[in-house]
Amino acid sequence: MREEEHRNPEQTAHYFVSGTTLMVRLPGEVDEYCCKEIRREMTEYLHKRTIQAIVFDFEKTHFMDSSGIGLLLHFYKKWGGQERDIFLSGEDARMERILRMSGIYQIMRHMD
Amino acid sequence: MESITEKMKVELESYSWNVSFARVIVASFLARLDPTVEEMEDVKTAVSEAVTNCVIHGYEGKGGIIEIRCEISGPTIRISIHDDGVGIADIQKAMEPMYTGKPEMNRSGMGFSFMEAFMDEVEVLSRVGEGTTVILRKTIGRTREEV
Repeated sequence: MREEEHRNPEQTAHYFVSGTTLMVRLPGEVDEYCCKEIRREMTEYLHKRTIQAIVFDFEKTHFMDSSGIGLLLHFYKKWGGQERDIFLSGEDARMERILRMSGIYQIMRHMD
Repeated sequence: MESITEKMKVELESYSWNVSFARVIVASFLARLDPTVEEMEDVKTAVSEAVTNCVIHGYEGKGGIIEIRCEISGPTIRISIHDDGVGIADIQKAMEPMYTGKPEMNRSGMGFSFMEAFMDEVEVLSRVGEGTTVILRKTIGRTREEV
């Protein structure tokens, strides 16, 4: 069975580009399976467009394990810094707890 | 009420899309302890970490069988997650926060830290070449009694 056949709407991200900002609406459940796909899709956007800021939007996200933290760290290391900003938005209490535990707020800011 | 022990066992193939399936199975079994949303999410996160480890580290993406056994005894759930994969040479090192055996795969190294943060007890048994078993324990209903 091929991987694409397993694509689950609960595990599919959506992308919005506005000016030089890429907003990534993360899926309801963020785990290793969908992170692989999101990493690939985001990298494609970052190569094709001129992006100055990334917003990870957690509005729809109610579950995330450490694979999600790996995803955030990947883009921070590969792409962040040098006048390029990464923001977080829409985190619920659970997501906030997980992001805080992982020290993500030390490198990315919450944006309303 | 007399406390009885209930058990269940499932075997899953080691694919990353089965990680969410594993979370749902354990969560449905846990539901009989009437956990809070937070307790449920804690267990789901820990199971997700342990099963992902089997897929990525134990079987190194090559496939195999992951065995999940759950036991509910009184208010406590014990979950054992086992693979017959490569095993862990240095368990202490593997459990260190931020350590990852696969830096090229963009792992955060937070898997065991998450398991420890969300469960009461985490035990790791492993032998190189023979596989790994992670045992997670959590007692449900503690926070409610305190309120």
